[in-house]
Amino acid sequence: MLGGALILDRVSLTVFEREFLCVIGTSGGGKTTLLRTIAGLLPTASGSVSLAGTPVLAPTPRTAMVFQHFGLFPWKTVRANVGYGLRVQGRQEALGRVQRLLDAFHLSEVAGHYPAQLSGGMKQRVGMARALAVEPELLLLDEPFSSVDAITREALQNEVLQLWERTQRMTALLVTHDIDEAIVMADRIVVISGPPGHISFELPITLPRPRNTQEIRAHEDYPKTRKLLWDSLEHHDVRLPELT
Amino acid sequence: MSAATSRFSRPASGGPGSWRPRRRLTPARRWALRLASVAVLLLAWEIYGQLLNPILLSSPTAVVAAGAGMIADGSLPQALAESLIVLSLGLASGVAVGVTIGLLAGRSETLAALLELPVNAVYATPAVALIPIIVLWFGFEVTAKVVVVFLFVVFPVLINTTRGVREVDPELIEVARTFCSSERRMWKDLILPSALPYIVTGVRLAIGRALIGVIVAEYYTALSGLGFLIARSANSFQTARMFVPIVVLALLGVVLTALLEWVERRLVRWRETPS
Repeated sequence: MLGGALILDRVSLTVFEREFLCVIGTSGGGKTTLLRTIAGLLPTASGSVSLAGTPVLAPTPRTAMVFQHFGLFPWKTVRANVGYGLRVQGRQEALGRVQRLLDAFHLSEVAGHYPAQLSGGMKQRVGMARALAVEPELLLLDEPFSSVDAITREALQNEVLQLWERTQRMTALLVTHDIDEAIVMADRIVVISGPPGHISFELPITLPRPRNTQEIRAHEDYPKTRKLLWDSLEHHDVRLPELT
Repeated sequence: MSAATSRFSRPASGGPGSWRPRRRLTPARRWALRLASVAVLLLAWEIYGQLLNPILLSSPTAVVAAGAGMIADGSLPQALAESLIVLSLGLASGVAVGVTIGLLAGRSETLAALLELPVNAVYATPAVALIPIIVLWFGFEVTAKVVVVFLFVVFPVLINTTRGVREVDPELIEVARTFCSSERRMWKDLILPSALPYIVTGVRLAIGRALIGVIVAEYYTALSGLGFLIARSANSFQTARMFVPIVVLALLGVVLTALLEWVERRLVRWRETPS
């Protein structure tokens, strides 16, 4: 897809089915713009976005997004927030899923609470459950763990890993500026540099699954992978053979 | 924002090192302080009033006695009924129109641009100045009085409502869009709930202005209601009787505001933080 010349320039990116793709880059590099374009929230100046062959011109129920600042409705309870997507899409028959997701994210006990009563980590669990409730073909995650403290962040990463590895293995695209997070989560990492944002580096992550944060960091390939990515972020115009 | 949030704000510091967290009052203590302030004011009025000529100030006991008489002879209930009709019609129509236009203007840049200058101009014009033309158009009776109250009420409600719709969190709009919400659902899920505190603030202002509007209307069109009672008692130097409708107006303001706060608490339960 191609974004507006000022923000994204000649970005061609394919996310494969059931792949967990991480996009990393420094702030202002255009990675959030890329995500919002894929979500259909932003129009493209030229170029296109397509999902399983269908062009994306506006937001579609086939994608769901997890937001950096949670994006919860303060006047809705946890349960109502999780069921929100299904309700607006007129899929009331699927609301049974809500309870299963509340259980999966340890939210059952606070199902009647309002977001103001929750910690940041709990809020993002609600945000994740809400996105998963609509069972999207493509899950978009916009720096989902950057507004919570480090300990909660790691716990959330592990929960998402577990859920994603054990269950549907849906296609996921996560945008982050955290190298370690990208390595832990991703099947493949794409580095966006800019402005204007372009793909400067691409790296498949072949570390074994199922993963968890501790084991991955102890893995012998971890330091090498981390250094490769770090160098690519520092000298983002170095074009490496892996680049497609 | 509204008073409900400002209650939780930190006190201004009085200098380096003087910052202390504000201690929350217990409900019982808050009520005791509220009643104590009223008691002290009434007592001071009573003592000072006894020292002066009753035409100049009168006193709470004399006002209560006069009030009892005015209830017995039916003049107060009749005046109150007249004023309440004007107040409720003016307030209801002003709030209804203000909220409706405010919501539309908050959502439509075009409508907002069209309304901005005329609304600001009429809002800034003292409504009293418009009374001669209102009388020309609507006469001296209830219709004209309701129009006066309406003019006092509609603008703060309209302006606050528009602001409330504007202040909708853009991230929440994005959330609604990614989940493919219809515009109609967006109103229900998003726009109305987030505009509500602003609407309540507008109505709170409107209650005070409506009470002013009622008395202004009753003075400047055909004398009637509580305004008539005040004017007639003052003209005949019956100061104690004059204070009765004034106290009734003050009570009306307190009761209406309390009612509004009760409604607001029921509607915005979500804002309560964990205990």
